[in-house]
Amino acid sequence: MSHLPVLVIVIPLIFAFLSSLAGFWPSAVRRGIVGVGFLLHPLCVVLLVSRMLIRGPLLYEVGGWAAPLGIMLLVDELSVIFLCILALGMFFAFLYSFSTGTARQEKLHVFFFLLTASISGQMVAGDIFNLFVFLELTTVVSIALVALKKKRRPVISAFVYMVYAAISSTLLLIAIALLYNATGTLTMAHIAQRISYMPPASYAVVLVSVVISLGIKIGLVPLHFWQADAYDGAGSTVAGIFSGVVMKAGVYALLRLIFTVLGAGGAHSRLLFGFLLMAGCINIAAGHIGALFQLNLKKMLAFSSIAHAGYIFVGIGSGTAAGLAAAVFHAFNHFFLKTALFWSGRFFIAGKRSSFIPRMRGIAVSFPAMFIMFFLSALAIVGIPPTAGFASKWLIALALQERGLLLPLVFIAAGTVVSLWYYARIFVLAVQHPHETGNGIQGARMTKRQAAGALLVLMVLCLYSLSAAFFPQDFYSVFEAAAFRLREPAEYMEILLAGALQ
Amino acid sequence: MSRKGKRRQRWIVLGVLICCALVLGTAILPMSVSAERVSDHYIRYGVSETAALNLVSAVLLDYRSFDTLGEATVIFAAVSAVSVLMSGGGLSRNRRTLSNLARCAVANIYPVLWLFPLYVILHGHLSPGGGFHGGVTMGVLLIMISVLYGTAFSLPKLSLTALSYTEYSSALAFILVGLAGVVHGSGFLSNIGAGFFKGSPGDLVSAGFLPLLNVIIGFKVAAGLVSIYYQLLRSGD
Amino acid sequence: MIREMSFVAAISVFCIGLYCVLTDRNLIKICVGLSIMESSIVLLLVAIAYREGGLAPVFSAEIETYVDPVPHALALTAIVIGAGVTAVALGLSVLIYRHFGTLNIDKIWRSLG
Repeated sequence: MSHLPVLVIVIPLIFAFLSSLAGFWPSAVRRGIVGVGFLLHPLCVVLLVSRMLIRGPLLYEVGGWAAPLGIMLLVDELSVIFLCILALGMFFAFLYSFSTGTARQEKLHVFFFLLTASISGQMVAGDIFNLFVFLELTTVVSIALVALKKKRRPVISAFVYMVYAAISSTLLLIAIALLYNATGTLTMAHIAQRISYMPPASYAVVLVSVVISLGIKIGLVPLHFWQADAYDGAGSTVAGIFSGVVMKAGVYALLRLIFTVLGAGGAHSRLLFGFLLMAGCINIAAGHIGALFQLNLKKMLAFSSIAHAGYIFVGIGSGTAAGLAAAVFHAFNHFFLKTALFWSGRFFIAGKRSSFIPRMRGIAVSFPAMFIMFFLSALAIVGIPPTAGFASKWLIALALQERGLLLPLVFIAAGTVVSLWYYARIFVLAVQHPHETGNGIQGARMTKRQAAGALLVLMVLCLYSLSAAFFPQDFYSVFEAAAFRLREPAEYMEILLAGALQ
Repeated sequence: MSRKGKRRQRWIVLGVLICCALVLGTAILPMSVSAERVSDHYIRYGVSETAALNLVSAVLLDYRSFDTLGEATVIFAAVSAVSVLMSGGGLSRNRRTLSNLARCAVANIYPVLWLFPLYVILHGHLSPGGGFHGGVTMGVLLIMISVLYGTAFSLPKLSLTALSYTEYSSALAFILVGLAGVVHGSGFLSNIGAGFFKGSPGDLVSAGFLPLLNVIIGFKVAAGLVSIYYQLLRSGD
Repeated sequence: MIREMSFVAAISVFCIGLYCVLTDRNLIKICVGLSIMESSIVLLLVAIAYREGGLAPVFSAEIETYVDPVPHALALTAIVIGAGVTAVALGLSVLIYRHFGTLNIDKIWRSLG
């Protein structure tokens, strides 16, 4: 029996505890522990992914108890896609934080390891209460990461985020309690089988609670008000991880709960899909227009993330497997793009000592390498062909057109134009000659070697954005398989429960 | 916002909440007890499978011990978060004590007070209680020393370093207990299946690693609570 | 009857807690409101566990019916997690007080501009 599903969670936990202990030990030991730790987790994920792709979905019974009695871990194509986002994100985050000196911040690595463990836990969870516990762990760590700088704005933004997050978890717990009351079990596979016994009023309340609760985490308008301030208050490293990884964990939880547990792939879910379409359009509009009127770089990127969450909702709301696959693909791409934008933007902010966009004059001259990365990622996120951003937007648009849903198409097109506008205005400012001299890497208070490390990470991210559209069809077939499994959970559960213990 | 505006805002919120309450009510109230639940198995076979008399402990630490690991980690994360947020100032060493009457009264019964959490922790698998309950009580008893005698007295005796070591070691110990199951091959956090001693229900030494996990959790929670208390008292300059 | 009344109580307490969180002006009162909301969920879980004539799920040879132990375990986990979040919330409140000198949320928004 492969223990990989549980090791993916337990190994980062062990290293979180070890790095806390290492706070009392010499720094060489600490660096060694952190170094081993941040290499081990991606290794486990790679092993798990390859095993899953070869042998099919994995089931793991924690504690040795069979399915409805104990806690089950479930790894299928969807888990694997999002686990890759997590592994890549945290691996790059460690490297980036080492090179930019964010790593000197006390206990940052403890929080990174805890975040890795908790999001891994969410993604392999096969039991709704287990999902909730790890979601809570993610929340507590995220609050700490937002407030890490301890200045005025981060602290109040963290408090607001905490209030929203606490309401979100209370709603999710209500949903879990109602699901247990109606179906008598906490294992996702069994709930999926018994969901039809639930009275429709309770089912509706559970569905609404889940959507509101996870909507707060993802940034569904009008529950998104915490995001811009939180991303602004956190450091750029942390903001990149939030927008790239933590938001995707919310998307994963939403997909898993709506489709696998609540069985929304069927014909009776037209209301839900209609709502998601409408909510997605509102998100696109609010996100892009909000970004247009923002003068703060990080807040602008935060609103852009809200808009892209809208694209994902629109893809899910199209009601087709193609749309769902395209939405998951967009989530996957968005990680690479937005993280690169935040992490390259950090240099501009540090160099100019401000996040105020009108001050970003001449950054192309002062930070040429970083600006190229920013430029390429911005092109990709707007959706200029042949970048990855274009590929996923195009696929979503195709799925909408296939269903004859033209209004969301208008929103997507208009959104693309608006986003081009607000990125272009940065480019226009950037290529002008800077007023002050003495900027550049030295101005951002780091050595050339440190900046080189960050540059390497950014280059890998941009490389993906530019080349993903040319990947072989096998790559996209994983996304299609994930979408298929989400929409047909019943027979999939039968196969799993019939003893697919590997 | 003006006073009138604030009052109107409150009425709107109240109205929305009443609607939500009615909606929730219509969903929750008609629900009857479902026919078949997992807990039927726990009630019928729990004692024979896990050798624990307290079925809630059996569910919490045997059948669903992974959730307990997650929950203990949430405490760890909260303690780390508070320690990072409060860092920078010196630990407050004040001599604020309670009155003579309070100190005398508590000092005489203090050792007896410790019997309760120790009993609750060690008998967690036999009677209501367990690691969390006992741990919180132990934490409160330790905080009581600070409140009664002042942190200038208690900090040298129970330093933040010692508390941190206790907490981190307990966290690692929990995972090591779970890894015993991995090494044995029967699954992470396997209890009887991994060879822990089962014994007969009702004995103090029985139910596999349940007493062990209760002790680990007890120390972890106590250390965490006292750490949070010391951190929140920091002077911050 | 007891089950239904407990459900009504849980929903009422949830709404009271949510009302405090949304309308109170003092940071500590907001934290208390969050705590109240979490307690209401614990009440909901315990109400779900209730069985007619059932006693506490600690095995004893004479007892015939027990209440459901699973929501009790879930409630315990929820309490502990709620305590963790409350601890972080209070830490943040202390930090906010150090920066702004007040716990009143209106004054804080005004001083941020």
